[in-house]
Amino acid sequence: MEFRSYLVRRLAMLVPVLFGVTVLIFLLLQLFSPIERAALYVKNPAQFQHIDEIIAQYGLDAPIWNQYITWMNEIFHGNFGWSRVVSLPVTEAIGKFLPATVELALFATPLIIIGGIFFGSKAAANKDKFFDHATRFGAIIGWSLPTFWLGLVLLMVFYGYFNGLLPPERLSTEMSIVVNSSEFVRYTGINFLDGIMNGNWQVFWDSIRHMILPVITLTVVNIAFIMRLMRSSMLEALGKGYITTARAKGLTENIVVNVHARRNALIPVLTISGFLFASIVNGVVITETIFNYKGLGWWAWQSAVQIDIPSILAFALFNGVLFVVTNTVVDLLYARIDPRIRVGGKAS
Amino acid sequence: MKHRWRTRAGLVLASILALAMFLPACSGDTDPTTAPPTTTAADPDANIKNPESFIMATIGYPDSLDPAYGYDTASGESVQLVYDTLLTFKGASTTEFLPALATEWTISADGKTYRFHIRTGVKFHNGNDLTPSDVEYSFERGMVQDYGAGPQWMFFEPLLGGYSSRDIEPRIPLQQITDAVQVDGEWVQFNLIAPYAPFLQILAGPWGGIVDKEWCVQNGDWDGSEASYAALNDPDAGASPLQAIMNGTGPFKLERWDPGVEISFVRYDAYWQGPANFERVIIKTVDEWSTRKLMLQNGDVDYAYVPATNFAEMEGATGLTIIKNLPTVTVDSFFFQMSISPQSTMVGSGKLDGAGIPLDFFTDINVRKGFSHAFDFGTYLQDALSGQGVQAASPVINGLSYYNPNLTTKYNYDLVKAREYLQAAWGGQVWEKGFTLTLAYNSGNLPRKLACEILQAGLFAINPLFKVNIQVMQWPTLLRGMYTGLLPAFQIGWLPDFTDAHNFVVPFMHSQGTFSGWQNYNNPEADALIAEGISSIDPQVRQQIYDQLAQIYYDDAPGILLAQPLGQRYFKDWIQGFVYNPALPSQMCNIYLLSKTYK
Repeated sequence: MEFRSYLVRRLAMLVPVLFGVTVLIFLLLQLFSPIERAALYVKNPAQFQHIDEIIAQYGLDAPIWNQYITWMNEIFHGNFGWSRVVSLPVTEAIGKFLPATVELALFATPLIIIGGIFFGSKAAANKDKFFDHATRFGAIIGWSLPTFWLGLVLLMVFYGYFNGLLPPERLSTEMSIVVNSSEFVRYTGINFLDGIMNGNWQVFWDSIRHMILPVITLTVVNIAFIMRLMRSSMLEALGKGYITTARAKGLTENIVVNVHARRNALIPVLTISGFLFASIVNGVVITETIFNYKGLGWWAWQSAVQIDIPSILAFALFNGVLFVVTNTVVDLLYARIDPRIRVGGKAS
Repeated sequence: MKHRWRTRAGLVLASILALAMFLPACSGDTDPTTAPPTTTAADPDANIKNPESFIMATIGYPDSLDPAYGYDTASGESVQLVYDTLLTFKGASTTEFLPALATEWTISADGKTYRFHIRTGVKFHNGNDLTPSDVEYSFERGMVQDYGAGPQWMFFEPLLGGYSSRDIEPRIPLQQITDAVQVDGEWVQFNLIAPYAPFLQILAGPWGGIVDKEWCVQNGDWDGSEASYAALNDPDAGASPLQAIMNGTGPFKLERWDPGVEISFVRYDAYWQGPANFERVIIKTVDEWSTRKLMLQNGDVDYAYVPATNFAEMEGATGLTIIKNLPTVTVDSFFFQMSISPQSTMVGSGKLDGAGIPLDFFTDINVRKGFSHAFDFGTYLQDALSGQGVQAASPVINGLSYYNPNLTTKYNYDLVKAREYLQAAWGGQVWEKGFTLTLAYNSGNLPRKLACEILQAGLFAINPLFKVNIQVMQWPTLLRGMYTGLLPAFQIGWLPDFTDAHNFVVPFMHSQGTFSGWQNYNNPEADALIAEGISSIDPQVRQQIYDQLAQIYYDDAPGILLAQPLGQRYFKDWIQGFVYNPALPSQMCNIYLLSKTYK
């Protein structure tokens, strides 16, 4: 009962969050003149002749509140507008680009989190020994590598030098013909899952093969943060009194570290992990662009640079929902990990 | 549960990584639709990847697949694979034509009646027969739809004399549109309001694609009625009934459009000129240059778009065919603003006191000529275009009809002359007090940035009091600045709608033209000549007019014509049959002519 009311409260929070986000974006839009916003519709100098007509047709010069009300009105009728950058309705665009990003997040997030927790706690347990120095060195390297540089180098080595071993894009030409044929059912749009569901292992393997490099890129650049966070919170936990007590009771080091200390140390990591997952689903612009792995991040970036208002707004709404939901899940996990945290106990 | 799955995912990944190392690099012959190629050592074609497909990696993606609506080159590229036009350009020419869906045509002596005999026995991809009424419908439907930022003005101007169906409120009578194009037995006749020499070139453009009337009506397009005209006129973005579906008579059928990612076409076996060499054409959008380059080098794509700034790094690449020195029909220019907006923040003090410029600074011809002579064209060609360009002597550049290669109306880099003009400017005040102004370029456009720097250096070399600041802007902001007169001078290029001189002299010189209009440039003599040029049907008369206009541009110096870039094409060496035609929207020109073989 308590849990349900908590959930309802959390979801009710979505309303002010989304309202705030959209109002904020509309206010920012005032920084752009109607002509700047009409630039999106001009792909050829010959279309410059029509700028006034474009402004009139799309109401780009109407007062900002009118524009907001018009937009809200459309939303309530289920129309989120047209995404100019890809020539699709906005909702379709999100549906189309989300699977690619989710695909990457499904593989990268567990790798980053589990790897980060494992290396971080091991480093803490071996403080100032070789393993600790090695992971610190690795973390610094990974953390400082620019994503685009790492992505390009991986591509040049595994695609260029090894002659097409691990290619860019989501599928090879042959497999994308298979996936788009009438015999193949696209249940999820996530290729490796669809491959399994259709019993087509060629598609499954091909999809995995194309995912390896972008997943490695994401993992390398993101794992360092989780690793270092885990290490420091683990060290803090290991210095606590109850650990001394546990050791005094004669428990093995293994149990002390992996059961007593790790549980407490996980709390900050969990918080960050929620955000990490959300921000990967939210799109990873550079990775998606380098590997031509077109997902939500690529689409949102294209929309932003071209001032494609309906797309930016819909993306912001999507993000608002994503972050609120992720945060809720994280809070529920807290209660799981730490009995001291009780749902509804404190004003959150 | 979850944990177990996660570790399993990790294991799967690790094992795949290990496996991938031992996999053969190329997993070929998995496509059941093609017989495996006979691989003998003697067969030079044995190593060709995707032998049945032509795959391109480029940037940008179509706005629409409706031939009447799309106005960007990416849309035109897709449209021309699927929809045939009445006539096509002959080989590399932009002014001579070959019959296509029309077997022959006649133009009346007064230049106002164009008649086309429609080919018989041609079928659309859905099996319907091509009839003259389909042709009539295609053009009337386009004008009925008349998307606001679309190409239809090219039909309104010659056929009805206006610019759009909305020139009068609420829209021009349907009767006018239907009277303009008429069926006469096996012929279709266009009734022009006045002679319009480039009309054939317009018909050969992607907007001249012929659609199937019956199929269009079935799909909710114009049914011939007044009500349907009112409902379909000026659709919202993407709201054309033919936005994402295609049915033409061309060599390829639309297979799948994956917006933003790729678009693929399959061969139409019953094509009236015989089936194409490729079973498939796939156009991929790959934004990142390095990725495109690797895809090309690996042979996963047969063609990749290479930006001019990357020509140098492709020198000496192996396994590619590189074609150079292709005149592209575009020219970047500096345009001087004759009447700068009082809101401009780029004129310093706004006075001729050394710390700024007056808003009418460029109305003095000495200023314009001085600036023109202060521009180092040689350095620009070398640095901005890697030597791949030629200075333009007129807005009528190479590739347009009435281009004259013998014109001498070019400014040269001459600081002595520049000094003379600038000493005379504004009664000597410019020389005495100097000036300060700001030039802008759009972010990411290296040639434009260099052009600003070259002009800055040239002026400073003449007189240290001549100060030019350079500012970078995002494209939408720059567009606003050009449009509203906030920029003292702006740089931009024009792309042809049709390759006739008229299409360039208007935006560059006419008081109502796009760029000259923004500049507030107004020369009645030029306006009169432009009007005379388009309505004349005598080629010799037209040639004289356009040469005269080149002279006026030189004498008046309303802007600095920079250079016409020379394009390059990069494809795998197994692609044969490329014929360059700058009038076609596709970077590959006519894909139907290409083949994939070493033999």
